Amino acid sequence: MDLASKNTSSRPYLSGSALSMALQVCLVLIILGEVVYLSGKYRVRADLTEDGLYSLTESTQRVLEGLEERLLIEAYFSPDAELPTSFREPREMLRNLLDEYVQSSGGKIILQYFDPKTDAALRERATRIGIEPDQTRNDEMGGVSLQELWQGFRLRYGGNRQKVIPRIDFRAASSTSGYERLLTPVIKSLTVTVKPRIGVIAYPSPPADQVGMLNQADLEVERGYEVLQEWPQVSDHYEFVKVSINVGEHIPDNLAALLLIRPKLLSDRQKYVIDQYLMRGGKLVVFADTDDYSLGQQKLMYQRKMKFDDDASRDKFVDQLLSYGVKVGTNIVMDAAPDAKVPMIITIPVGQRLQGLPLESYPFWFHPVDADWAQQAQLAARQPDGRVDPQLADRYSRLFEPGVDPEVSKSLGAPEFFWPCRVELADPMPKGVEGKVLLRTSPWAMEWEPPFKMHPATNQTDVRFIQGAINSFATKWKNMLGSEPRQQIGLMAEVQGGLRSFFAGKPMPLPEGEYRGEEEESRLIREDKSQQDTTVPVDPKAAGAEVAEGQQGPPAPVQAAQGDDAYADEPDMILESPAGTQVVVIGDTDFIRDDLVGRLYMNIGGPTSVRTAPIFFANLLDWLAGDQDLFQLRSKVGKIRTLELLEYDPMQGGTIQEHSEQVRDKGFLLRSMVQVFAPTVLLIWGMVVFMRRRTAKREFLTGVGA
Amino acid sequence: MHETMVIMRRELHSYFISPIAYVFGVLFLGGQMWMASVGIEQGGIAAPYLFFAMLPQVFLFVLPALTMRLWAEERKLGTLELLMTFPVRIEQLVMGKFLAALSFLTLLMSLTVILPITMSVYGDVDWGPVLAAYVGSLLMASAYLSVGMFWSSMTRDQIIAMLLSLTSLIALYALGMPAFLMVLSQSDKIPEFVVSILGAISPYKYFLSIARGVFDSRDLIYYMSFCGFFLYANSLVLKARRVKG
Repeated sequence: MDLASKNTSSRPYLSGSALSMALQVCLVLIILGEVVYLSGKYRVRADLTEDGLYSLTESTQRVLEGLEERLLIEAYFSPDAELPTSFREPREMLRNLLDEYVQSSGGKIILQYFDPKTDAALRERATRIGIEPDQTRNDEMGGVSLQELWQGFRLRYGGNRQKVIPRIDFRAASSTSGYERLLTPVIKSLTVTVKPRIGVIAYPSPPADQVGMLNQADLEVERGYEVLQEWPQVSDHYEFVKVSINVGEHIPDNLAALLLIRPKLLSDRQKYVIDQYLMRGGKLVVFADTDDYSLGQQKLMYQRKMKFDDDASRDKFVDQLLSYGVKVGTNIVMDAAPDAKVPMIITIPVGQRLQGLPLESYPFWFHPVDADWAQQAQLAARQPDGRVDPQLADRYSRLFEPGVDPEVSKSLGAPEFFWPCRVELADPMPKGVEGKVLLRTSPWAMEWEPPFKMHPATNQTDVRFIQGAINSFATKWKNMLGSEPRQQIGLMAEVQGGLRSFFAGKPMPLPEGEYRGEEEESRLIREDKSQQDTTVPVDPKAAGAEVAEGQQGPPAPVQAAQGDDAYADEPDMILESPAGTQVVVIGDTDFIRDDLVGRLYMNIGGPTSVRTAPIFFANLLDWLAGDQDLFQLRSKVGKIRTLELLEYDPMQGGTIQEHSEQVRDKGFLLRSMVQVFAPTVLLIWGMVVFMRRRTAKREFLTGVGA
Repeated sequence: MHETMVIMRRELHSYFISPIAYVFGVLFLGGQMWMASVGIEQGGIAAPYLFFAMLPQVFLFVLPALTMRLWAEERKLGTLELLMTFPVRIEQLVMGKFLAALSFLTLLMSLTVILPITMSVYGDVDWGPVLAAYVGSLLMASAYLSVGMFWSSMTRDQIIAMLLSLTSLIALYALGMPAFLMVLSQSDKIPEFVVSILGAISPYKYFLSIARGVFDSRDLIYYMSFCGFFLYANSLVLKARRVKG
């Protein structure tokens, strides 16, 4: 470096100049530093991600707008500098998010940071209110040590209400929205004074060996449906009430929604009280299973026959649902689209141990795919010889619909289904009722009459024969699927409107198997006979009954009870529900079972529904309860964007291994193209420049006669 | 502005007739695309993450090579004095050379768009973060270029200029690494606030923030300030040289 001058005559001038320059540099540095510092305090952000992964959702904005009092967020954080490397970015994201909360709250949120490690009193306070440090193994500094990391919150709302988040796991979120899903519901729960009540009528089933259907011990546990109700994201916002209709009691009206889970052996009276609950404007969700399979530690999958109706029933529950506009099938549904696949691992006994064998495809466990299947019409119309039938492709492109309804289900999410049944809309729909299929299979789906055993390697315990059994199982369903046209099958449907009572014009079922209308009709007939005998005309209305006019439409029910009626206080039958009455039917109950949500089979390779079921369940409740806030928030997940180099048609073109090899070849070709493209363009450019310059040089030299 | 553009065009032209620029360009593109294209496979993510993940490290070596000659060569060939006689301000000279280097790099980067375009044929690419990452890369490159130009103005030896740029850029990069900051924070000799300030200096940290798909006014202001400071320092050095004669 030769900045210093050796010219002594100009030294004083240069020294002054250097000093002036140094001062200028320092001044500029200070000003710019301040500008950068201030820009960090008052910042504007634009999130360019398509899914808005780093922005507050509208849900959070609404929750923040709903804050009526001041919310103090006390953040008990270890200093960022002490965090292991991998935790720095999540912490930065969390800090950014908290800044966004403060800025969006319009001054309602005050954020305070505390470091419990710097002050014993602070640490004691944090521990007292329930904040817990995380003990993390840290081996970054050469040795291995346990490090105490704090990242908890106390949220105080309006002075008298508070919630504590003991600690937020640093691995809890990979994006801002992950933290948002943790924080916003807590803020929301602080602002809610009364939790909406959700009624639950569930029919858990005893273990398979207790009903005498298995001679092998499959260690199946009782199937309850309570784990999801106890999930904090749900229990913080809803109060669950067990509703009993065992002896035909009426369902309370003060429910935000009623969940009817795995209905079985329903009596007419029970169907009636459900019907009347709807007629009073209630909202009903039916988790229906027309068939059921055992699923214990050995996953033997034996059929357990399901019946919706008890033997004494005169009316079928499926007909009741049909009268509201929802048609429920009796077979189980399979979906063979690779994207819909839910992993299945077959457990094989090897010596004293169990070994897992991943299955290429088990199409009875699947999830609806958020895809516009009309775009796959060409693939679906491909014939066995590889030719595409244009007419069929055209028909499919008009027929196929998205697997996930873009308006509702996109926000609800799609759970994983296990041996589901068909749920569609009635054709024609009842007058005044509108409906929508919310979840559908892919076009590579069909219904299968439930067999006795659903295990792909049924009865095979010898490892040598299991692969053969699996292959023949796959061949069987592929042959069946190949022989049918492509179709999408509904899995969840919603109807809404002014529903007509299923029991309109029918005798009113009373508790203990009696029917009021029937008694009345018999009595009227008896009276009629006696009146005929005495020739005195009788007006049936005077006797308390309304007779249908001219046999048009169903007869109206009996309006008043007789003096000796044991059920005199039974309310009159309501014939039509208010507009906006809602019925949702989902063709599966397995995905909300405690053992599947609770990951009971995780150590033997699954299945589990924990990945999707809790969010779907919570969203469903929010949707029914009309709470859009959390409903949109939970469903905010980044779209999975994967490359698909070659389409895989389950009906065509060999095994998945062969497909993988084709994909590898194509991937190699593309990679090579991408690798050489840019350097080659630059090289060609360089050569062109070089040639032009050489030509120009030659012409110049020729010109000057050299 | 006109003068700046004239200088920029002259400099840019000199890049395109320099075989060394092509060699660096081919090596940069070839190496970068070779490593980044590994992600093209079935089930891989339809986003050029790998490309942008490696870019800051690759820039550490490529950009000093691009800037080393900007002033050092002028001084070595004695053309700097000639340049100083032109009727342009020193700031315009600095800006012209800076924009020329940035334009050359932008051109090289534009050739890499083939990667996300290929991915978009076989997957659903989210173009927002890709665009942000490209802008972030150019902003980071601007910061690196301004540092490289500054060191090039300090010496007449290109190799020394490159080594000084490389060393300072590696130091700046390291300051953006949490592990390095952790080491500093565990040293008793460095106060915590100094570690915080050092951590806020690194261009790498701000690149990561932009590359995930978020434009933050803080990040943009940081890069403008960073480049502004080093370009200002560059012009001060040249002014001092002119004063010295």
